[in-house]
Amino acid sequence: MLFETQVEVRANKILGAEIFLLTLHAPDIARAALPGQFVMLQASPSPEPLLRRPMSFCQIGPSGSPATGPETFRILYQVAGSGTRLMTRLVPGDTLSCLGPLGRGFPLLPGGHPRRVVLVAGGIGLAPFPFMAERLRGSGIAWTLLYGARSAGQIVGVDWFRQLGGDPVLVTEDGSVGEKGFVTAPLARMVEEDRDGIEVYACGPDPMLRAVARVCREGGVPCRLSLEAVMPCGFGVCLGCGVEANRPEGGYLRICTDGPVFAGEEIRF
Amino acid sequence: MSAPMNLAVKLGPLHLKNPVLTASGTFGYGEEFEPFLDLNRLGGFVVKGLSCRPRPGNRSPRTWETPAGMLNSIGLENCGIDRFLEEKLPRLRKYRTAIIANLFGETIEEYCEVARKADAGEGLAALELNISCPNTARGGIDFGCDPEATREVVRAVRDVTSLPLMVKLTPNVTDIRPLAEAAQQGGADILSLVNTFFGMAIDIRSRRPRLSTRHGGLSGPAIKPMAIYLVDRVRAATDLPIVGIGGIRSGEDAVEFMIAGASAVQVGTGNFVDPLCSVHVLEEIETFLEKEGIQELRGLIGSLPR
Repeated sequence: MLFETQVEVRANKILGAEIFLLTLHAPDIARAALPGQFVMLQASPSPEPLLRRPMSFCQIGPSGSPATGPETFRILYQVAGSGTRLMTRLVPGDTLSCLGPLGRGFPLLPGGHPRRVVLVAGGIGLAPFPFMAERLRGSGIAWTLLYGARSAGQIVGVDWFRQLGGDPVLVTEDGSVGEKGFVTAPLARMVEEDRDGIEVYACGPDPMLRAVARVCREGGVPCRLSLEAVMPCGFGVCLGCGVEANRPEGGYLRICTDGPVFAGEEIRF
Repeated sequence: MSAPMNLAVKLGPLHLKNPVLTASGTFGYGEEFEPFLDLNRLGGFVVKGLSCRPRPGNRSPRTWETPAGMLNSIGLENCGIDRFLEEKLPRLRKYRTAIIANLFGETIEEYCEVARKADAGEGLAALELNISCPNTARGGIDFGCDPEATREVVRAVRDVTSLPLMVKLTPNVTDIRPLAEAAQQGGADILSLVNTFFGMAIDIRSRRPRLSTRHGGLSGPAIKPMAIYLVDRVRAATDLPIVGIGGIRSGEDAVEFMIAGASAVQVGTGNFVDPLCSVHVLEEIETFLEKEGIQELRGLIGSLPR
C-alpha cells in the first residue's frame, strides 16, 4: 500500500558532522514500511525546492502499543545540498508532504540459507540498516555491521546496533576510530573466512558499492546493493534515475521502482 | 449543492470533458498513476513519447534540479509503439478520458510509420506530434526549428491519420510564429506549447556538466512566464486551438494560460512533485470559476484583449 500524505515533524536532532535524525509522525507509512524502502519527502514547508527528496527508512516506531502499531518513522540524513540544508531547519510541528513507502527493499530473509547477513555501510549509507538489523534480529538471523566513514565525526548510531546485540566493525579513512582504510578490507576477510555462510547487503557511495560488488563476485558471495540517485519523482514516471541493466538486451533499470536495492548481478555500474 | 460545473472544451475535432491534460514524459503510460488518482477525472492524458522501435534513452545522470525547475535529458526512452498498442492501450481503454499518444521519429518515414500504427490502434482520442525534443541526436527538434521541415512532417503525418492532430512546439527558436503557421499549413488541428527550454548546469567542483548529455531541457515553474509569452505570440499568429504547457502546478496557473489563449493545459513537472497535481489543478480551476462567478469556461479562454 502506498500513501500520499502530510507528515508531521516530531524531532530533528543533530547526531554528527552535518548528520541529522528526523522523526516524522505518519502511521500509515510507518506501518507499511519495509527495510531498504524509501519515501519522497518535501524538504521544506515552502514551495522551494521544487522536488521532493528520496529518503530511506532508518527506524520505525516505537509503537504506541502492540494494538496500534508504529506511528512514526525516522530518517537519517546528511547535508549534501540546498534541500538537505533546508531540512536542518525543520522543527517539531512542521508538516511536509510525503509519498511512500516506495521501491523494492532488501530481502527480509536472505536466500540460500546463509548463516549471517553482513551489512556494509559507507557514510550516510548507514541509513537503512538500523531498521534492517532490527528485522533480521526479529527473524532470528545473525548479522554483522561493517561501517565505514571518512572520520570519527561521521560515525553515528553505533549504540543502536549494540542495543540490538551487535558489535559493529568500524573503519575510518583517517583511522580516527576503528580500523584505518576502507570497509572492503574487513569485508574481504569475512568473505575469505566464510564464503558459504554469508550474504552481503550494502549501502553507500557508488565507488564503495562497486568495490563491495567486486569483492563479493570474486568470493562467490551473493550481494544486494542499495543505490542512491537524483530522483525527481520516486515512482517510476520521470525515468530520471536509470542504472544500466546487466542483461543481453541492455537498457536501463529504474532505481526508484526496480530498486533501490538490486542483486549485484542485475546491474552494470 | 450546485450542479457540477460544465468544464467541457472543444479543441477543433478533439472534445475534452475538462481542460486538464497531463504532459508527455511526465505521466508514464497512465497506468503508473492508477494508485493515486481516478484517471477518469482528467480531461485526458498524453502518454510518454512513442517511436517505431523501443529506445533505451540516455546514460545517467539524466536529471538535475534547478531553481523552480529541473533539467532533463531522458532521451525519449520508451517501449515502442507496438508494445504500447499491444500491452498498454488495451488496459487503458476502460477509461472515459481522452488518451493521446505522443509520437516522434528521426525521419519523416519514421514519423509516418509510428503515426500509421497509432491510427490503427483502437482507443486513442488524438495524436500529439513531438517535433521539439531537445534531447536526441537526430529528429525531434530538427523538424521543429525549421518552418519548411515542420510543414513537411506535419503534412506527411496528416496524410496517414484521421485522428485529431496536435503538434507540440519548441520554444528554442527566435520567433515561434512561423513554426505555428507552418504546423497549421501542414494540417495540424491543435498546437501544444511549449516543450522544454534548452538548459545546462555544471558541477563547479568537478567542472563537469550535471547531465550526461551536457545539455538538457528545462521545465517547471521557472519557465511559466516564458511559456505564457509564447502562447500569446502563437495566438496572434494562428486561429488553431492552443494547449498551454509550462510550469503549471495550480488552478491559477492554468487559468492564466487560458486567459492568454489556451483552450486546455497540460500539467508536466508538477506530476513528479505531487502525483495528484493534475487533479488539484482541475479542482482549483473549478474553485476559481465558482468564486469569480464565471459560468462558462469559454468566457475565460483568450479573454486577454489582443
